Amino acid sequence: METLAQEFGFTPDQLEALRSKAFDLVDAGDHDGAVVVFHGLLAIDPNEAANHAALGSVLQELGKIDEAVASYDEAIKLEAYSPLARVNRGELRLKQGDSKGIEDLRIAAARKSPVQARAQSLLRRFGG
Amino acid sequence: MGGIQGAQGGADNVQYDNAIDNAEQAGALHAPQHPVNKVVAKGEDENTTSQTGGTGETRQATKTVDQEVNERLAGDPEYASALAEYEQAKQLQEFYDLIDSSVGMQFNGNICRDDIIALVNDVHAPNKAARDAAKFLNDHPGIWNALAKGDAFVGAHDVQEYIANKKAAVDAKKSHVKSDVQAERGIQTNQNGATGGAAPATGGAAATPNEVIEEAKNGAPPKPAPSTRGGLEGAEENTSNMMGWMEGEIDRLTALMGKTDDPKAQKQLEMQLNQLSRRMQQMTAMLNQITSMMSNISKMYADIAMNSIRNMR
Repeated sequence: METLAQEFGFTPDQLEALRSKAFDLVDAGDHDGAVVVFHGLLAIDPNEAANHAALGSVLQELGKIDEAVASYDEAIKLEAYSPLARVNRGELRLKQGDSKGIEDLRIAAARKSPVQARAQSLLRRFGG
Repeated sequence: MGGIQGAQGGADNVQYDNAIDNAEQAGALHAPQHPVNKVVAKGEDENTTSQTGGTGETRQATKTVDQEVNERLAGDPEYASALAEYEQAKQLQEFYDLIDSSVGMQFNGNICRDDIIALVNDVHAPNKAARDAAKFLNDHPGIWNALAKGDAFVGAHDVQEYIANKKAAVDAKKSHVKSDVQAERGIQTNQNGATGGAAPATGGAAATPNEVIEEAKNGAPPKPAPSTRGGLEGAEENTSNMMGWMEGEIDRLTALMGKTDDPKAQKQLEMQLNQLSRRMQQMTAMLNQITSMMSNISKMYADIAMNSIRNMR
């Protein structure tokens, strides 16, 4: 299904500009305003995992934990390795006594650059 | 992140920036040739029209709508540019597939700018194809910049979305030109005294539920052309255009609701209307937030300027 961004021809740099305004609001301490902009942005483009994750972190900052977790869930559904969503959800889960948080943190921590991965592969090969 | 690039230090960063500049120029020069003719030739022929001369002796066949659309698009630099970006974007998918299939475990299905730079810098990279693919992306920084949104990781979804956006831009341009041609032909036909051309009028007469549902689905007016501006200005323009379109759509669906008593059709229309209203509210709230923030920033700068003037006195 087409997103509004696709239907109305929003370009990546236009979406980025909106996202940047949301972060400006966060920087200005207006978390509620940032939530409004992120919701608008996600209405235009619901498939952007990074925006779900960012919204989650703003909601977490506001103490809206359930909504934050729902945003992280959405981010992870779209992008399984979303590091921000994994780390924050992992932390929240562990604080709530949910051991599934460990798995989130493991996945986030396992993210390697190709150079790191090659180093590991060489270590395995040469028995280091 | 940042391993190799970070370790290279300032001089290499300058070198990298220069390389980017050069690559941008090279990218422009070596951009894939756009098979404009090939693409436009695929257009479905439709609405073949003919004009009957005053005497009725000669029948001069005019171009089909699609032929005329194709001709206009062939001479349109904006369309050529959109098509070029789409073609490049498709190459990006090849790149991503290659990276993902060859070193998928390393990338975990994600790539980031440092991954690309690391592969380009690593002349001893065991996977030559992946390095070539990385070089392509490094040589076309415009693609990466548009795609990556800073240093964020890029996943398969981002790539597909990027390509879809580029395709949408091509389709939007094509659709816009087509609407123009169709509108012009409608006017022309009417001037010649023939019938047709204009959209069928929707009167207040009752319609069957299926007709209403069908009209709700397919009778939407064409979407406004995307803004050609970039950044926030473009985003605001697109959002305003979108809200204008939604307003029209809400009016149209509301009028359609009055044409049927069928609960199923009414329920469907109501759902569509609710969704449109909710989106309108979200867009209005978002624009208000941004406008209010911009106005606060302007006020802050005005205050700073005023204080500076006071201090000078």
